[in-house]
Amino acid sequence: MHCGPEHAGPPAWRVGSAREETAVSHITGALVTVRTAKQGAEMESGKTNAKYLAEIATLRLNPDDLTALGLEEGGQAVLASAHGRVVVTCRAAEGPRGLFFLPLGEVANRLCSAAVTNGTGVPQWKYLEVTVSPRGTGDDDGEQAGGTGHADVS
Amino acid sequence: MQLHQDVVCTFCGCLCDDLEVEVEDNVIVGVKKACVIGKNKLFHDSHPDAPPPSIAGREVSIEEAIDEAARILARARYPLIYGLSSTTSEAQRELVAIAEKTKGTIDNPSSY
Amino acid sequence: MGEARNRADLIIYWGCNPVETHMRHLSRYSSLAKGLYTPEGRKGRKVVAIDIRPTPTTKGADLFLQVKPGNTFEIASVLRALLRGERLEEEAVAAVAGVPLASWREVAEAIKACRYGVLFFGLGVTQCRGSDINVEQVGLLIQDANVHTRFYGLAMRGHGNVNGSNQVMTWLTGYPMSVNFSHGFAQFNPGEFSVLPMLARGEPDAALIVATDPGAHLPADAVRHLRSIPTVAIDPHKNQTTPWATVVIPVAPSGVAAAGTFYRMDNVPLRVRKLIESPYPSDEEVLAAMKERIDHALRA
Repeated sequence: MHCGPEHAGPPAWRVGSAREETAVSHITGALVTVRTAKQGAEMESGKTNAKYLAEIATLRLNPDDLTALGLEEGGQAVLASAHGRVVVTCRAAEGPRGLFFLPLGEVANRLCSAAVTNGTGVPQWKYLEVTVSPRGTGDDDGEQAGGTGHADVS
Repeated sequence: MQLHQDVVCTFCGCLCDDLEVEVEDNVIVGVKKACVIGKNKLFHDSHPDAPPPSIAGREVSIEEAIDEAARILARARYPLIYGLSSTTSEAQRELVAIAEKTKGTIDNPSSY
Repeated sequence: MGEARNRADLIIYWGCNPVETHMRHLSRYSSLAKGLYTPEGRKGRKVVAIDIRPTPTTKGADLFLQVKPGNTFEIASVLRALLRGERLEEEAVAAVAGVPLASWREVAEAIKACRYGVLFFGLGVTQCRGSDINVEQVGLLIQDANVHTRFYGLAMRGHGNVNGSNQVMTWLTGYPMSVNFSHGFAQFNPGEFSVLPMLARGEPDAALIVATDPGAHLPADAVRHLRSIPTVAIDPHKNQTTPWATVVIPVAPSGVAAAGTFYRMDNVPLRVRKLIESPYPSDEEVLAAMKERIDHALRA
């Protein structure tokens, strides 16, 4: 049994102005960091391993959001927050529209700030307002994601 | 070849303690009963990609690295001691002592 | 977790996804395990999942409540109210976290009806907006459940011995985390002395990092401060901190090439063994030597 609203997205969820009839320029929503089996398994084979670096830059989002952005499975998008921007590879996954999921890791951490914890010491890893847009539509694509180990993107 | 029974996996808080681990010539060659993460961790730990001991990128001996670390911490006015989550409780005890001696702050990942 | 395995007829997973993160948790300790008083395993248990999206864990549940994010405190509060028999009017409280009150009633009734219930909660609860007050409210919920039946709550600890770090710090300082010794005695204040606010304020003038990888797991601005101060990294592996740390000390991996004590998520200490020889000393040996040398330097 599954109880829940049809649309469990955050109230802030909205789409940007349409570029074409079928695609929007960006979607504003919330980023939630999660663990994935692959992230855990590949991390334990070493954090310089290419599969780990690809996994932490893989964004899961609702298939309708993917379509709205005019993106295909595996397409690249730019995720931007108040603290940074990164390029991610998109995969459709079950979940409400307007919620985006990235594995824990250095890529997600370029979007978060240690200064914003609302007095708790916990950053906004479970709810960070972001926009997602197809790569190449904005004036700045941000840094190529992929876990360089350098945290020099503001 | 040695077969170790009831080995504890140290990856997650489940600490599954029923693993079977085969060791040959000081290398782990087989892991049974572990999950994929635990298996990868044991194999990774057995084929170490340890970074060489270094100071400012220059390779040194372990002794020199410990000396320099002690110098840095003794000189610091407000050091941060952080981590602790994947080491033994015996090592954690030493870290609390170091925090107290250096008048520092000590924290682990459960604060977030 | 022996209790969960052998007795629990109600398991609640909230804000956690053990199928992907603690892969053997279900078969060894929780929903799928067959134990002394749970010989039927999964068939004899009711399983409830609360999460913001469907996951492999929620798919294995009898009842899945898909909630809106950011509502942990509200959910714990409504369940407490229902367990305490408070009158809640459907018109006033039609839904909590986007889920109808009727579904929360079903969860509360399941708690009241069970012989032994266990709530496993993850980062979805502890890192949700409100953080510490969520955990407090979840603790009170467990107390309220114990008025009706036997009920237990357990945090799904990630790192192998993060619980040990809480245990050891509590024996020695009285506090489980975020302890500051700047006045020469232990002061405790998460949110002030936790790692992230400390680094965000740029206060530490040196850092000792042991058995964790801030380069991968802390926000970029926290890492930026660490990179600007002398940082010592002790780790068995190259990670995303060792390339830039001022001093790097390789060590034998705990539980593989170094023995010692680890605490399971339910506070049971287990001895981890040495299976192979490492060319490097253990964390304990490195830190004991470092402590002596710090002592010596401070006396000089």
